[in-house]
Amino acid sequence: MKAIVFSDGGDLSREQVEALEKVGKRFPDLTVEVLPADSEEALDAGIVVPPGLVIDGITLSVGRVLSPGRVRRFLLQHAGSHGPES
Amino acid sequence: MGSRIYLDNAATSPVDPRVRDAILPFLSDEFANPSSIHAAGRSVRRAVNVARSAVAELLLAHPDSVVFTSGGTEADVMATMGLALAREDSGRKGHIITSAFEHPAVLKCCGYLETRGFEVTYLRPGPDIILDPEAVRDAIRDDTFLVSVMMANNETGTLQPIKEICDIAHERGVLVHTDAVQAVGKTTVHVEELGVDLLACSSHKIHGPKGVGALYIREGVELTPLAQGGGQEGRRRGGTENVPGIVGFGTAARLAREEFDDRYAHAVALRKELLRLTTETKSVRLNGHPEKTVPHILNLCLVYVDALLLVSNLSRRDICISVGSACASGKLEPSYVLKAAGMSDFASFTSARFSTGKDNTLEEVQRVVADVGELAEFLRQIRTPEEIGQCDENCPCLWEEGVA
Repeated sequence: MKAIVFSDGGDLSREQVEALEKVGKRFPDLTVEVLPADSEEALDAGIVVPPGLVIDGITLSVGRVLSPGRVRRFLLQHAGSHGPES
Repeated sequence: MGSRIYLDNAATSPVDPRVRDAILPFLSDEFANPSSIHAAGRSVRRAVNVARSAVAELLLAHPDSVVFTSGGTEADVMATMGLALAREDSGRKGHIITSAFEHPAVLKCCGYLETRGFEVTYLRPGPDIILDPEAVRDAIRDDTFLVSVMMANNETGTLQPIKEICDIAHERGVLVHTDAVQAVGKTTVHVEELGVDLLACSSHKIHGPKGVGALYIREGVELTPLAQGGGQEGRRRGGTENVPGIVGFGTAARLAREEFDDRYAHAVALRKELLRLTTETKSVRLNGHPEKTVPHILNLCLVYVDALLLVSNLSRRDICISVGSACASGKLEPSYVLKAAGMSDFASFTSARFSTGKDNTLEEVQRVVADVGELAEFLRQIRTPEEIGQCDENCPCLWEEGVA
């Protein structure tokens, strides 16, 4: 599973990365990549305001931090073939 | 366009191939300046005049009352600023009445005019995002010289009571401007029946090219030209005309008039299909009015669904919708239109706009309905209601408990 955090280097972006690192301890398959919030990839993902979070091609947060609990819930319920992008 | 489903026609619409074909000669052989008196110039002048007549026919106006602009924004600015500056030229300031949900083109002008000593009253709509014409009557003062209210709201599609507003304003000798960018070609717009003195419209909302619009100016209404220069556009807007754009706009206007009945019926059918979301998907409500609306714009509040996430994930499926107005996109701010109607930030952040066009099919809309329903259910699990927010006590939406 690949998580991308679109970051502007601000507090909320750091908080989002920390949330993923925290969850990552329970999900060793989870890799985290941090990309600039003003990158082409961010625009493609619809990240108009940082931070943004995309996991396995699904945009999970724009302009807000998705809490560790919510990330964990998503990973448990929707990762892999159960994701909404069909 | 391939498999892309584009339901953002209120932002802009695809250029009709017939419009494109009409434009092409004016990007090659027919390049002359329409102000030139030689044969090449006169040929281009004739094309501009044909386009002017086509736009005028769509509005049921006289061609001489139509001034081409660079778009709807410039037409709005020309109307509000031009009228205010003409008043200022005669040594007066005065009072303007507008709505709190106007396009930024009007709101920013009003804000600027306030810095020059004009006074502005911003009226708020009811929960159905429709202005009460009696509020206009109550707001008129002895020094009121302009009422500017949009005809169809760009975010919700609601139609404003322009005729009633004109009747009230004219009783007091006040002129009325309407931004009809989202109404022209989508509903009947007859300048004489409405009674408006100034009306702005745009080409690219009706399958014409971008960068061209028009302002209807009733005979006898004096505006100070903002673009000083040559004597183009009846000395009301200086500068060599954007001939390809104008020819395209004229063609788009002619097609919009000729195909109006079919396009309107098609938009109504697509709207009916989209409205299935309000009955077949849990906790989805209409923002606006069910009948007093242009048919091609539908704004829905999807309770507990972060609308930005909906737009983003639909985009990944090549489905294009929008949140807020296109001009406001890029900012994570609640819709000023919905806020003006008293809705909470919560309602705003969970609302999305679907706007159809003549080229959308029923099958496309059916797929959007299915995908939105599926994604809404998924996205409700991503955030708790507390993370999104709560409706305010005065939020006019019908509150539903226990959604997520």
